[in-house]
Amino acid sequence: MVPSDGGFPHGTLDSRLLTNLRRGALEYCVLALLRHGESYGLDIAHALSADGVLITSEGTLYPLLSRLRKSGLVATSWRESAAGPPRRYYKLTAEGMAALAAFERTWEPFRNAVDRALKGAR
Amino acid sequence: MNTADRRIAEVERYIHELAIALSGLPADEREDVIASIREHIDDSLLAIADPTPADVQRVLEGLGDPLAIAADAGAPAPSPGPTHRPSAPSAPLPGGASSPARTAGSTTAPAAAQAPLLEQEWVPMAMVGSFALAGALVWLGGRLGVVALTLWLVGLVILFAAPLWRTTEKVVGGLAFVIGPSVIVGLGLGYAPGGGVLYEFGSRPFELMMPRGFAPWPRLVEFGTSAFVVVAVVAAGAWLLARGSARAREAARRRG
Repeated sequence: MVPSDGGFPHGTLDSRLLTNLRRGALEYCVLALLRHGESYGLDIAHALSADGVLITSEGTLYPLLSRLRKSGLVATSWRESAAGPPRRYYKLTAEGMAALAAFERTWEPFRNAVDRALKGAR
Repeated sequence: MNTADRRIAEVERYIHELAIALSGLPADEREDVIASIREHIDDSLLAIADPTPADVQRVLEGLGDPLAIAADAGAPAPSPGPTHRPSAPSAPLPGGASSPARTAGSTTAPAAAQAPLLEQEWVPMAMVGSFALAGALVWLGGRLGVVALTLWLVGLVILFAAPLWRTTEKVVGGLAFVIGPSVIVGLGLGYAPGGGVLYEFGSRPFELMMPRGFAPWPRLVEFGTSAFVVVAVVAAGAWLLARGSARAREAARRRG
């Protein structure tokens, strides 16, 4: 078996920087994905790993989901699936909704400030 | 073993490695993560009509290295440390909606969790170094000594105990470091002057490099075999060093 050694599909992106940047933002991306309805693990994983920026190893999603559930920001329920055994679906709680809104209020000015600084505007 | 069995074995091995890597997490969290990852694998394979072992491989590679998942999960080491380490700062939660437990945790969380002892970056070097030193001692001393045997055992223990190597890598390393030296020492003892001293430890196993009184042909075979074995063992050592170091660095990066 060939383990992934953090090999990154985008040769130009610094994986160390990415790891640091994801911290603190990734969980809100998960919450945001659940904003318009519940979803299951594989679906969330695919959505987040599609461009290889937010998640490189899909497995890292699951400890995150577990923590979000423990802290009450998402709730899980079992649902029958068309083919195969029942799956657990993740759903945003009221607390999760509030957390997401708080993040958005903070993120926009933060992102704008970083962009301005990077562009050298005064 | 048929294809279906091989698929299942592959998945079970991954889950097993994951369970070991996550052993520092609280039991309920660990169970939760393992169950949902198992579901991810099942769901992924259900979507494929007749999954081949290569499909399984791809799904597992997509999930990523169990050690990296554990490091990201902030799994503290299954170490005898007296204090419970708080989870890594990968889950900061919003101040507004946070519970008291979370706020308390975030103020005490260290900037970077310390890597467990056997996941640290010097471990691969120590493993390969033990074997190299044991080999050098036997080579230079011309005999098997207690020190060399101890070093060899230390190397094996590190290789099997450290989570830095995947199961396949441990097996390859185990084979290389057990069979390789056995062949060389066996050859040496077998060809030792006087013959019939296979059981005698101190009988200069490395006479094999210049056996006296033997026809050139067996000498050539013997030399060729030991040269091949030495090259194979050194290559295995270099490979394990590279893999182990890469995983230790990756785990450290995710922790820090």
